[in-house]
Amino acid sequence: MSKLYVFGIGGTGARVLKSLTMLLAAGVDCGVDTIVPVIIDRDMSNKDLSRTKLLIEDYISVNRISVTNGRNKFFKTKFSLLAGNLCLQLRDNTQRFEDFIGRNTMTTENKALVDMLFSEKTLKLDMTEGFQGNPNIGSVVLNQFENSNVFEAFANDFKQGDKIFIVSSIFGGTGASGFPLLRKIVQTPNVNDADGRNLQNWGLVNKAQIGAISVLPYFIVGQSVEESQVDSDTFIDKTRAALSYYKTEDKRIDTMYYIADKRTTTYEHHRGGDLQKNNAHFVEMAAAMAILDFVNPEKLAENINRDNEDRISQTTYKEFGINADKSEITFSDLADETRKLIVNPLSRFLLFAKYMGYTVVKKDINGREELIVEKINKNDIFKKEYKHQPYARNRFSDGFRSVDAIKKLESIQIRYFEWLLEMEDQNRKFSPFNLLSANCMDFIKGNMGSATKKGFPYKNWAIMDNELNSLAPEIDRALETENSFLELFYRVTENLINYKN
Amino acid sequence: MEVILGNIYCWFESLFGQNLAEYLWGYNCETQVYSGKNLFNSIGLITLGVSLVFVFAYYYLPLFFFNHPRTNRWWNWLMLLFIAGIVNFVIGYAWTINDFLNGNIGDCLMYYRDSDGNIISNLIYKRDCWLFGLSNFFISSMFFIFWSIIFKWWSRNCKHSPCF
Repeated sequence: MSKLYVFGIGGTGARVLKSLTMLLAAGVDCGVDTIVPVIIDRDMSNKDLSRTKLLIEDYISVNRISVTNGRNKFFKTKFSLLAGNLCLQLRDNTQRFEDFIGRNTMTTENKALVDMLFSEKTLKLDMTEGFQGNPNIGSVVLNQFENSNVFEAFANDFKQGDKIFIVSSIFGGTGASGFPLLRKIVQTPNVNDADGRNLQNWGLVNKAQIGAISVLPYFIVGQSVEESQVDSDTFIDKTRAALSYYKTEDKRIDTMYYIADKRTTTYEHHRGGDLQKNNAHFVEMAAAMAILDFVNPEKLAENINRDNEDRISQTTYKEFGINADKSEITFSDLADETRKLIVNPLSRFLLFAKYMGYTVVKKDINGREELIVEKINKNDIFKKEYKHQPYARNRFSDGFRSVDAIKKLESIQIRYFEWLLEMEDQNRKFSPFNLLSANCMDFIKGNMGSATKKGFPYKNWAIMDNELNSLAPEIDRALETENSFLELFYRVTENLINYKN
Repeated sequence: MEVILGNIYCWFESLFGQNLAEYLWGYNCETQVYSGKNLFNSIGLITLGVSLVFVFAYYYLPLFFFNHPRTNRWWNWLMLLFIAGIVNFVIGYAWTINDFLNGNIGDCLMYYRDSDGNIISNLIYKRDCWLFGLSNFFISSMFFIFWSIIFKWWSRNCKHSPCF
């Protein structure tokens, strides 16, 4: 029953956690039973964070119905929050950087030194919207980790065998500064709480297997319409500077992952807050796969190199790559190992969502044709068929879809579609599916034909109904309705989509 | 067992007439006993078999629209009952009209004659063959319902058709 504590630092950290949640919802294999996501961000109002928070909360609700003692893998990995909070509660909410460092109460000499180190713009920066790409501020502000109650819940919760993974970007403010600080604190012996008492289990935390991914530039931002200090031109320089500092992390991290993409998408530029909502990106999904790689029990010998005293003897460095530098990635462009990991789960969960009526449609919005995710009544096969098909008879009543867990499951299915759609809307598209297809069996792009079962003599969604009817008697009648629903749909999609390398 | 099918057909005797029924029971005008073949059994067994084939196909045959997730509505079942009924209607009609036209039906059952042997009236008409076909349609439907009740439970896609 080991746990993995995933610290997502900054906006990229939140988005990678979102991708991880999507992968686990789809049933991608995870080497631990429980993920404990922890987001560290000063900008608590940014949309990326709130979207991730909502997704994880809904995931937790659906996870409760995923226990079937059967084959189900949808939502199988448990998510648990530290003391009910997704975000690490930083003790300080000071708005301006100059107030945080107490510039106004400094001596004239110190004030002069501070003015030399930080520009006026930086000193007056409103940190409620993050560090605006300033890791030098981040490294000062996030130093509050020590001697505080920030990690109390984490330490209390930590058990022998639990692992730690840190996700951060290297080219921004919060992530670049937060990663080395966080790594340092979790490996500092005898950390105290605010009252000066040693944190419980901190010895276990110090010795825990630790992995990290540093996300190098994979997007740039356009011209700001607001007053912002984020400048894409500095991304590479910042990355270079941070990388040279990260050299000092050698032998302090068990496995260090790096990922970047030179084919960048330009995002709208916002300082933060409600408007900071970047589309999902393949790089974030690949970063989420790094987390799964770190806890993969088959890769233990590769990822963890420790001496007899349990000290890291060698850091393993890993990068993610695809078969060819293409602007549109399908499953065929992924390495065998990646295909093996994600083709089946992503396709199966999409098939499940499509059966429930979700699809991508073209809509005219303000004179522009846009792709949006919608539930289309005529595509809602479950609604059309549940009264007629033996699999649903005496199991799924009229009010079944109003049950909270099912409502949340469907809400995640919509967001899953949106997540896939957003990954298509990038300069480097991840487009393994034909999302506009309303058919049961032709939605996987590329040479993945062998993945889907030929359902002769049935056609289209009748193939799926036939499988549902065929497998329903095998589902344990003692299961709660919602649990049997997940188990049944997992088994059926598993039967219909079974890609083998 | 030998008379069960005949008895069932006789529920509809008022439709196709007593004389045709006597012929089908195997009445021999010459010996004045039921020494002929009991045609109720022959036609009934065929009807029973045809209904069974249709029911089996509907519930179990994984071909075309049989045992299909899209044809498990009650009206699909009813349609098949109707088709099986039509087939049995044709069999019932064809069998009796054939015997009627070929003179296989005994004279005493066909005509009412006076003492000189002149035909006063017909006792069996072509219409009676149609009506026997119709009776066979109803009996086919009964058999279809009967077989459905027995066999539907193990069907993958149609176990709840037409109901329950």
